[in-house]
Amino acid sequence: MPTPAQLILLGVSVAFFALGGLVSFARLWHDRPAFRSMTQACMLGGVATTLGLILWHTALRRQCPLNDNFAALVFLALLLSTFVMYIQHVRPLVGLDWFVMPVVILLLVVGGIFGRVEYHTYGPLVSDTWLWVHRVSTYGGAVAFAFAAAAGAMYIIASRRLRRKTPLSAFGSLERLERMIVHSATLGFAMLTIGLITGFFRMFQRGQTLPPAKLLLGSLSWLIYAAVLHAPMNPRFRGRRVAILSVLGFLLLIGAIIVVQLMPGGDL
Amino acid sequence: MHRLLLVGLNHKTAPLTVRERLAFAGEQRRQVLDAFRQRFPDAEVVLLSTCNRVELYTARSTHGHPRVEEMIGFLAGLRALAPEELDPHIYRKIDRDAVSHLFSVASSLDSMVLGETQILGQVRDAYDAANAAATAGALLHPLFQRAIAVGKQVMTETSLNEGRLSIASVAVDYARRIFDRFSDKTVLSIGAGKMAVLVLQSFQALSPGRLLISNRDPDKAAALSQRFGGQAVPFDKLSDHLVAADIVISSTGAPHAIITHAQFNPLLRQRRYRPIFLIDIAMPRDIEAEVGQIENVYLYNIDDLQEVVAATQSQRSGAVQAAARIVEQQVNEFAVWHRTREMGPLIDRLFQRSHHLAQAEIARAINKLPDLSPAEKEVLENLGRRIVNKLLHDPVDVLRVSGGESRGAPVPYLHAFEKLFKLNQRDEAQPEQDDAQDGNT
Repeated sequence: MPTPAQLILLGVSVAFFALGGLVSFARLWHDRPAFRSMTQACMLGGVATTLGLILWHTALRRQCPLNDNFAALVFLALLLSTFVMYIQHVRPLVGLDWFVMPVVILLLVVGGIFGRVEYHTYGPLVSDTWLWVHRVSTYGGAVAFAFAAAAGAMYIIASRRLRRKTPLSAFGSLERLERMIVHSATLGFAMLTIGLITGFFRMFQRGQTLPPAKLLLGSLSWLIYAAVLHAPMNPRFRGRRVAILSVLGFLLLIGAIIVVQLMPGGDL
Repeated sequence: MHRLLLVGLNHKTAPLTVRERLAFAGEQRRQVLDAFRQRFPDAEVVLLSTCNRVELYTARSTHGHPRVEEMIGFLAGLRALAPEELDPHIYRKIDRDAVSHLFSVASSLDSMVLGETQILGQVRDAYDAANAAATAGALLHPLFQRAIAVGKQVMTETSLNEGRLSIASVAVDYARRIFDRFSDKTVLSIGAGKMAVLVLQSFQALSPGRLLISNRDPDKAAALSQRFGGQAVPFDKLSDHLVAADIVISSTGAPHAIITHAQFNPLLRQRRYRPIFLIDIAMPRDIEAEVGQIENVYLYNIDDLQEVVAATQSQRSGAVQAAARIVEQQVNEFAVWHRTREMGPLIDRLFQRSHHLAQAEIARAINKLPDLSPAEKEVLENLGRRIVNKLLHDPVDVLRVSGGESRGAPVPYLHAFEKLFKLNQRDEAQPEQDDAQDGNT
């Protein structure tokens, strides 16, 4: 179970991300340089705190990260926030914070709550290559899909605002958002495919015949993302439709992640 | 005496759908002026028709024609509309109010986009058209010349024109919200007018991959494409160009839509459902509003773009006040000039008529006194002249003094003089009621 001090650090991290998200949101009305610097500082503070939390947790348990759901969820939040920070550094997209930060905060809060109630472990660290491939691909895929969903949500709003003749500059162009959706979904799809294959492989390895809920939900997400990626072949599936699908796919994936947390043992 | 009347509608009183039905472009303006002259041969007229307004300025003698309702009927009749359809959108202004309105229009204070300079050119065009049709006369000539001068003064002496967005810059900004890269995009300009040039100048800065220019007049298209390094394409193959285009700027003078929903919908498949940005800056509109309902089609018309520009106006309230002061001062000066101009002939007529009456009465009296010597007759004639002069001195003095003031209301005095002393040379069969109607507007 995470120690009270770790939970406090987790709270600090959540506060950093929440504040950063709020200041970023305020830039919608007042895009001041001070707000921009403050957002960056909050993001950096959040990432540093989350990284410190993971390192502390790992050192305390003397285990590699990703061996329990607390560490896994915090790690996922770290990956997401780091990627947002990278995007904002390379080619800023103000609105991205508004959509990814809530997911980051949700992951940290869920990690804190489930870590507190019942400290699920994913089982002992085994030298099982399949398990590691499975973990890396599913978590990597989740991060990619989170971005696809954020870009999708932004696309839907931006497109709607453009139609209503009240566009938002903070969301960037529709073309860029669509590209983000397709690129993130492509990467996520590849990783999810690997994650599902290894998941099914481990299921059969354990002698199970019925796939668990997370594999079923994961498969459903896979189908949705397959539709998203089929857009270049069927041009009707572009723009807003792709955006809606990417959001739906991520919601299913989030469902799969929460199901994992609720299952006894939290593992396959 | 002359009376100045204005009947019109603008972006504040009428939606785009009404304005575009009443818009008159190019040669149509001349036809309107000719039709007006034919119907009201004694009245002066100037027609101002822009994207945002249609205004008919008329000057006529006090009891002449047209009346305000006749002007509305004339406008409605040009487009086969019932006057009642237009009436809710129409504003009516008389004399000083009409002058003040025109000066505000020329200064862009009445524009949707404060500080826009295009309106000044449009006022000048309207005046030139009236000149060419010989429909501007003793009142509208000086009025429009002064209006153009006021517009220039406002633009040069205030900062109204500074720090504002243009329609072209807003269009480019919106294009950036749809497209990320422009090197692989095709911009199509339909029409080769002034507005198209302004917007193309802004889009050129984006360095689009291809620039197509299509116009009914191939020579104009060729000239414009040469200027912007584009490619002139035939107007009759518009559908093909719409398939290729990512951004379309339409600004033709066509009286009807040239891109309809029925025409555009089948092109979607050929376009592979790519997003398209349609900028319709024509009046009447070139693109049916229903086209904007299609998925991945972003249609903006002149009002949509102007509203964005107008949203920046609050930042220039100081300049607006300065411009309003100039307009107010110029309206006063014009009013003084106009009153003085109107007053002279009236006073002349008053004296002539009074002296004529006095001399007639004195002649009758002399006839009844046959023994009068020439010296005595002269005394009597001088007496009559002096009485007339003394009687008229005070009222005429009041009239002159009030006419020289910057504000005040000598116009009612002038009307009163006309009526009390029967100075109006015209038929006065239907006077007061009609003027009262005009005055109530």
